Amino acid sequence: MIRMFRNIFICFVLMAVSLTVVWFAPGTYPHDLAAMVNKKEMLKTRPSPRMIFVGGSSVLSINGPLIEKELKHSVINMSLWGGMGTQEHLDEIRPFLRAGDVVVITMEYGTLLDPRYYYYIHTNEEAKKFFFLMSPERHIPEYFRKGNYAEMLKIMHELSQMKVKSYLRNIATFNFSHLCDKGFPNYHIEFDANGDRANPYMVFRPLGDRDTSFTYPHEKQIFFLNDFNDFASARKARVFFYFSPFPDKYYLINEKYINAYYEIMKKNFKGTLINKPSDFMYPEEYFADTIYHLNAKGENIRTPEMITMLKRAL
Amino acid sequence: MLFNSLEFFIFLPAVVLLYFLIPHKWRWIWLLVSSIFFFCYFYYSTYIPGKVPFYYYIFVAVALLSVIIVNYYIALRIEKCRASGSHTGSLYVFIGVAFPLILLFIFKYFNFFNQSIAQIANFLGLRYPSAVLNILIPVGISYYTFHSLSYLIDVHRGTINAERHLGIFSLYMLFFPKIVAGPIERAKRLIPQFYEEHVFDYQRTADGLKLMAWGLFKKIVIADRAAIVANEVFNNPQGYFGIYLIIASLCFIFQVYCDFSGYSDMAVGIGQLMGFRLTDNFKRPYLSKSISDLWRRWHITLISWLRDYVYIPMGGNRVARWRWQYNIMVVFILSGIWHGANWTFIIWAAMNGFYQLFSIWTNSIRNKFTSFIGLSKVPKLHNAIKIINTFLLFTFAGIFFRANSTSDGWYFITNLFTGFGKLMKIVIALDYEKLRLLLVPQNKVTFLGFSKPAFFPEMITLFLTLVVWGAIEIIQENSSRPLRIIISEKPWYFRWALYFGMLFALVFLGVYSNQQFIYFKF
Repeated sequence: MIRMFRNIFICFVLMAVSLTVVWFAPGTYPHDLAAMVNKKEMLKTRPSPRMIFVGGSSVLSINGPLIEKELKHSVINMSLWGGMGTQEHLDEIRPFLRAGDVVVITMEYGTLLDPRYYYYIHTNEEAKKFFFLMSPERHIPEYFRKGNYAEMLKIMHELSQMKVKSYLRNIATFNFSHLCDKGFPNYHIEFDANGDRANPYMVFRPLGDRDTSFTYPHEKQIFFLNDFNDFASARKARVFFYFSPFPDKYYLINEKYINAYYEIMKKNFKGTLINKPSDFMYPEEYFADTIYHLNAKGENIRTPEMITMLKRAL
Repeated sequence: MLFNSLEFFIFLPAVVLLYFLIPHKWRWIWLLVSSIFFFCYFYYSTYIPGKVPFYYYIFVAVALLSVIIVNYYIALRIEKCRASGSHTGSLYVFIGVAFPLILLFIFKYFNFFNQSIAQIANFLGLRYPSAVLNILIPVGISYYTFHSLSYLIDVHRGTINAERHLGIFSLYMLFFPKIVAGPIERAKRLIPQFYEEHVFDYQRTADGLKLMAWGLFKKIVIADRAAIVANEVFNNPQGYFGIYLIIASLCFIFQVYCDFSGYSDMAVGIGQLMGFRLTDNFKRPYLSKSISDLWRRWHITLISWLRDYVYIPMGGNRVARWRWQYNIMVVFILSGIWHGANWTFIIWAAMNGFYQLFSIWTNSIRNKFTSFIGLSKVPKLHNAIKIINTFLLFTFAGIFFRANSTSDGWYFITNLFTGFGKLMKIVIALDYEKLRLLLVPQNKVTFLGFSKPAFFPEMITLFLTLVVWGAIEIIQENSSRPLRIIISEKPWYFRWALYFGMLFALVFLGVYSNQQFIYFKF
């Protein structure tokens, strides 16, 4: 029986060593949210002065090069998906803030006004996993402090599984040159140097609205923005906030809730509000596949308007 | 408790360790307690307060207990009647067989038959009150019913003596490695093993663990991955066209085999850890050269049960030709009904029965044809064609096994080749962009159940693991010795490299979503 236990122990050690090796080895993760790892690189390397965009997928289609040209700031588009949570997103950015940075935040309406979506964001295990991947050096001590060893191990295991499957894909397709890439395997195809989408969103009808059912927001839901603003001010960085584009039809249906959101922001937000919700209300033909995504036509209107607003605020 | 759950990996070592630590005379109690715990935990872990009333669980427990007790006493009676030459033994057999079958009918088939009658009545314009019996189908009911029937019939035939120890008999019915999804063990084979004193044996335990690992590999690496594609398409077949329906059918056919044979391997392996020899349920069915060959290798304990207790008593093949063919069809239809109360299972079984009859009818023509074209002179090619043919026929019938309804199954088989003309045109034109737009739905973030970026790596993983599985099956098929013996003769570093590969695949390629085994619902 001792021999049996010894061999089982050896198996455990082998697997622990394998997990460690896979965790530290370079590799990609076949998941959209792994793009956060690539985006984080921009935070480390892009020169100041910088303009960092944080929000959901509605921000992905902005014309970063045009903003760079007009405002003379390096544009870093950290946005990916509203479901990841703005608070958690900003927490990841904090360590990389420099003096003179401008952080431009948006929180798509659904993330605050739709209680189901709001709940989902704050219990989203997928996002948690990829924030962990983005900065493990920050999260691992946190898990240790809270004693959540099993959860930490689970996240590391799931991420390692993705990496192994990515290796298999690269080996099976003889794609050896990309074996040691980092982050999202298709990052350089799907995103440009600023972190914007390389291609505009495709147009589909009917417009996806994810059963949007809005309610009144609560001011405590935005306290973290002020917290971040205080942190940024201490680092001599500035925080701007803008209201996302939205189809006018949906705006009219939800006007009272959206206005309540605006009032809360106007009253409580310590940073700079650069627009009103109605500024980015567009007809449905400017939208691509969902009520949050502008198509190329809509983006050609939104980015210049945003540049004007940012110029005013700067 | 699922074999692929974390709880089971705590439960099993505890059971095995204590099994060897306690004296032999107490071991049956420990196994019985563990088996009851295993069974109850299954319900506990799936219990959703408010969804199913608690007293349903009481019904389930009472049903199982009553089957055990009634069978135990009736078997003793039958034996007594047999010894005294009394004819009342047949009456006891009738009661003993009818009792679990009535319970099986109430729990599993009542709603199906009631609704079928209501549909027919509706079609004929008659009024029929089709009340639905809102009950919980007890896990493993089909398995323990068949265990109890074979036991009683064997006692009646004098093949075995009635078990006098109620505890051992209860253990025979409830033994945890096989209670929820088989193998359907005969009392003659299993009960004596509970009396044997098992000592810890390193080699046997190591072999059991390896078999469990192999079963787990088939379940969590292959079956659960293939299930994602199969579930996505079978749950919404109208959203897909030809090529996807074919991919889903293939994924399902690999899923169902790897799922069930994986479970059976784990059950046999678990038994082996404690010194029990359970029956192998599969013998590489997808390498069969004919449908009848496949059915000798697929779910062996069920098919041999039906052979011994239905087919042979009906006369088997020692009757008139039409009657023999009738017997074959009856056995297949029964196996379909055993799988579940749904027309889809009956159609699946009937298709397999028809294949078998068709092969009987066309046997001489096929032989003449293969001789005529010279195929019989190239036996390897001939065998390969037979294997592929059998596999494709089984896959085709398998569509009904998985389809959620007969209409879905019909949609599947009538749309298997839709869109092929368009697809071929694009493929011939080598227009990659058009091919992508045709195959990948642009307005969805998922593709065949996976997120789009994950799809390709997952499919490559599935393909590679299927290649490994296929290679191992072929090696086993062509070798006269068991694979474990062949491996054990290799140098230590080769063996450990294999074990490492297996563990690595389990840890890094397994789908850890605690998916139930398909055959649990039967």
